[in-house]
Amino acid sequence: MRYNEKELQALSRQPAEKAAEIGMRVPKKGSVVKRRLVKLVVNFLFYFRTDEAEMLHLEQPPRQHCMIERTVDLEDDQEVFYFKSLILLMSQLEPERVSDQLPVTWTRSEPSWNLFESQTQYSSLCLQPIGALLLEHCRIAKEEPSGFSISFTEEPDRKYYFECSSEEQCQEWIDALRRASYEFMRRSLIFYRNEIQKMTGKDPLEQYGISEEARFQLNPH
Amino acid sequence: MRVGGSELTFPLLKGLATMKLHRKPVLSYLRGTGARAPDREGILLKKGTRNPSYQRRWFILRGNLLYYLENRRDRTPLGLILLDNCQVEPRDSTTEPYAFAILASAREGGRCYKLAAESKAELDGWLRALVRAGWSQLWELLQPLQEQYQRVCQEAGVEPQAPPQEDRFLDLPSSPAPSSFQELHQRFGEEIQALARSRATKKQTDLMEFG
Repeated sequence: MRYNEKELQALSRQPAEKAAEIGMRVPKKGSVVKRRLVKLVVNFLFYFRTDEAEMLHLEQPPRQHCMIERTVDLEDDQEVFYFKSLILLMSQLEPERVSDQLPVTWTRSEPSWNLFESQTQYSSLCLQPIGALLLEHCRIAKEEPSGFSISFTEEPDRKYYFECSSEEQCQEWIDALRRASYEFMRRSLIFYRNEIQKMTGKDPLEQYGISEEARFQLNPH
Repeated sequence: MRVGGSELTFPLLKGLATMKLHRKPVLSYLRGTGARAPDREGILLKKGTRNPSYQRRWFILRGNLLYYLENRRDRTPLGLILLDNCQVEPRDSTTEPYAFAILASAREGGRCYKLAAESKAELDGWLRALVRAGWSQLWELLQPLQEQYQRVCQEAGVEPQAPPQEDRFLDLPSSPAPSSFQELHQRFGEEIQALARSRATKKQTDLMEFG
């Protein structure tokens, strides 16, 4: 299924309804909770690596290309790729940090290294989310303690888990995520419209000239 | 830490760790629950990216997402267009009289989708639907309505209710609206029982939610 990634990325850079660092676990075998920067924009939930918050402050272009051998234990290709890029960048911009940070061995070997050749590439990597979830036809449930899960109608047992820092934060997220769904907004609009019409005898959508629109009718099949 | 030579040239960064748009939620939204028809669907001609000719595609608009399929009956779409921050406008075409374009996130490297309808009526219908499809537009429509509802409730001395969580609540038959709460309650009850019977064979525990 094709889509233009730039459109989705552009969306992820818009001001968020809500954003926070939260623990997240995806429904994949053996996955663990990872801290992510989670950002709600329209009906999409984006999640970013948290160390990118640091990287966003680094603005100098790479000064020279260099190769590094360092050993790190990583989960999958995407992580490996990302981490290598991160090391390369940091080695150019903050070399004294690199030697302290990385103690372990690469579990995957790769013959070539990719380097940042321009400021734009570096910025794109920094500002790019790891992933995006469309918040439609989903169920958002409270999970004890102070967490919640998102699951989708077709596979209710496959859950994305989130761990908040407090009950309050948790409830705020649950409410915000439910309100973010386009279908929820549509149902709300239909509900308010009908209730207002019942109580006042007037259709509130008439003033907008859209009272006949199919998408705001009760039950178009 | 071993450092290599500084004059090494490496290929331009290809395939930057790509963002993962989880497929299942997107497909699930397209297929719907059967409770609601799409906002608009029909044939549109789409100009290919590599191939400059127009291809006939089946387009389905749901919410702020525009899906396109090779064939109407396909389960999996060919592609998806996000309609937030889009400009939709008619355009001139040498071959198509009812041509229009969707400019998606134009400033940030989004695409220009070149489309054409097969009639004036279709063109007008699609333009109208697409221009209003953004999430923010719906939000802006919803806010004053919500405020109006609170006000009207206050004036009537009635406690405002929260809008329904689940779609099923609004699956009322299209016959006249119930005239009393009793009737509404009765009708819901019958619907719930019908649902319960039809789902008796499936593992559905969430029916208990609104018991």
